[in-house]
Amino acid sequence: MNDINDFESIQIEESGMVYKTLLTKKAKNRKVWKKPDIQEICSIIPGTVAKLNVREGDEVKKGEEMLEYEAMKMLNIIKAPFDGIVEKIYVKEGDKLAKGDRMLYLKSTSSVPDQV
Amino acid sequence: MTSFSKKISELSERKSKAKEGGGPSAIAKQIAMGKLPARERISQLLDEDSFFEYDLFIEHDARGFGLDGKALAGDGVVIGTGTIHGKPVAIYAQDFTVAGGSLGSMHAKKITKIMDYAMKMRIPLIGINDSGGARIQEGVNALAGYGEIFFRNTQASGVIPQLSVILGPCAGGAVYSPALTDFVFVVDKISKMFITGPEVIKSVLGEEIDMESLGGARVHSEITGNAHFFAHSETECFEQIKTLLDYIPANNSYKCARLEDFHEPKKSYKIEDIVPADPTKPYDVRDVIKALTDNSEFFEVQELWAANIVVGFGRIAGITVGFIANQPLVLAGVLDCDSSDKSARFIRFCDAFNIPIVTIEDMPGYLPGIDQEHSGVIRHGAKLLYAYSEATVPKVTVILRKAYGGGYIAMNSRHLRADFVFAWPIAEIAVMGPDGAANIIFKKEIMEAENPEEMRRIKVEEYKQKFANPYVAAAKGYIDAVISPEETRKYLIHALEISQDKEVKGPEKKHGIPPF
Repeated sequence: MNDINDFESIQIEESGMVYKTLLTKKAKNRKVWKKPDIQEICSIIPGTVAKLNVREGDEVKKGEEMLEYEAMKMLNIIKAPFDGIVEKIYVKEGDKLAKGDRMLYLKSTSSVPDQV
Repeated sequence: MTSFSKKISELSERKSKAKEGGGPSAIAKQIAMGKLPARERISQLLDEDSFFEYDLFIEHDARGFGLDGKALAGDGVVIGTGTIHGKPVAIYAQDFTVAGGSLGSMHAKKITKIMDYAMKMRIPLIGINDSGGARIQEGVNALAGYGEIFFRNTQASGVIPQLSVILGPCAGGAVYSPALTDFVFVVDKISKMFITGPEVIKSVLGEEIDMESLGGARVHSEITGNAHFFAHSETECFEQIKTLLDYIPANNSYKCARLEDFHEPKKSYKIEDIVPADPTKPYDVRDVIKALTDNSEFFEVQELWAANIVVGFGRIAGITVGFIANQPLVLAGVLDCDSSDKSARFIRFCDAFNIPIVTIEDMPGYLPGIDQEHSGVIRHGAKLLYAYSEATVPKVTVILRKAYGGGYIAMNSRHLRADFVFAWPIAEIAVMGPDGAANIIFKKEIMEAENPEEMRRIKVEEYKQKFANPYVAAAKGYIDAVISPEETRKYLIHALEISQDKEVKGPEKKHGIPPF
């Protein structure tokens, strides 16, 4: 049996009701939600940076090919989701990336679009 | 004035009073939020003058909390029947102008009444949701109302098509009726769905998020997969509903009627020019679908969520078909948790409503990764195997390029009882990609070679020659024919025509236990 000391408090509703309970591993490791910055271009799949078509400081138009990214036997083209300036490149050709790794920072030249 | 005509004019007075809803100022507020009033929505969606309304004079039965004697027009919901493109539908629309569209027991009784009609008449059910949630003053009676709706949603599932249209807030328990139905429609900036809202989240967890980022139309179309159709306006949303209803039958004992008149695919979609022979080059698989369908029309479902698989409806020689296609343009077309979920559900819809399934295959396998494994890709991936195996409608597969490993089995292979499997000559049907396979099979030769890199290259090439083609599978009869791209439509038409009366029977059971 679990020791009572393992129990933690959680509040379920605004009503202020607090329960003593065990937490699941998932609940304990929960990450705090952050509004994503869509100017940060991240990998959406594990893979390898095959070719960089832009350099820091480059101005790119929406739809312009920024880098080639090899993943799952496919050469994926990462295009600019909006007009912007490549402020920072975090990767070089040949880098292996996990899902969610930062690739580059594309500073939007218009107002930051809410959604892409 | 005769007494009869007096009664009639009294009726029209009562009617127009009841149809005022929450009154002019509440309606003005509704319009200011960019939303249409409930009856206006119905009249835009249905054929002109086809709507017949019932239970207009329903009164709520809330007691206490200041609600006694307070009139709530129609108890905040409009129900009735009518037609869309001439075909009958049952519909309800919550009226936000009346007590915030809140659900009390009579409100729920109206909804369940029209649901029962839909089931009895075996016609599609459309629910327009625009409600603040349970009417707190009615306590457990409101909860009972939700429960009665959920039960009917479940009973009706697979019998009649059920469409949920979210045109306002839909929060707390209310979200589960749409979640139980077949298709959910959302409109940008108008639809909001969540179990607990931003305020509760803030007070309990201290995290701040706005309503749109938490449960707006985009979130449910792109991230959660709760929504199937995203529109920019209510009018666009209604057009989507009409198009969908054109593709699907009224109930599960019908097949969609085959259209006598149809057009060939448009000349601008040349199937032989769409798919690059180099398997590392992406392309948009929707162009392949459009090169196969009548008039190159394809009605995509869940376009924005799990876009690495494409599902939707089209017609081939007048026959309505559900398409499942790997999308090399997105995530290299891999199978993963979400794409398995999405396609499995779609397959089950098609199977329930007698819609043949055409699978267009070009995928490198399941996505490797810790987050995939830990998100349960085994459990989710199994849904796809289950759905394909279970489906008894005509099932045809066309393998365009890559069909590797577990994905080959999952994508409606012969082994899961595809009726027909065709492959293009550039197809690679193998246990895994040539690089990976050569590294394993010829590990020793490669390691012991004087020049391992050179040996690896030779062995990869050798493997490609021997196995990365359709002929190994053809030699075993796992595929029925190797066909050229231009022949694809012809083969599909024939396969669909001859399997119109397909009949197979599985073993007797109460129901299966799919890996939900």
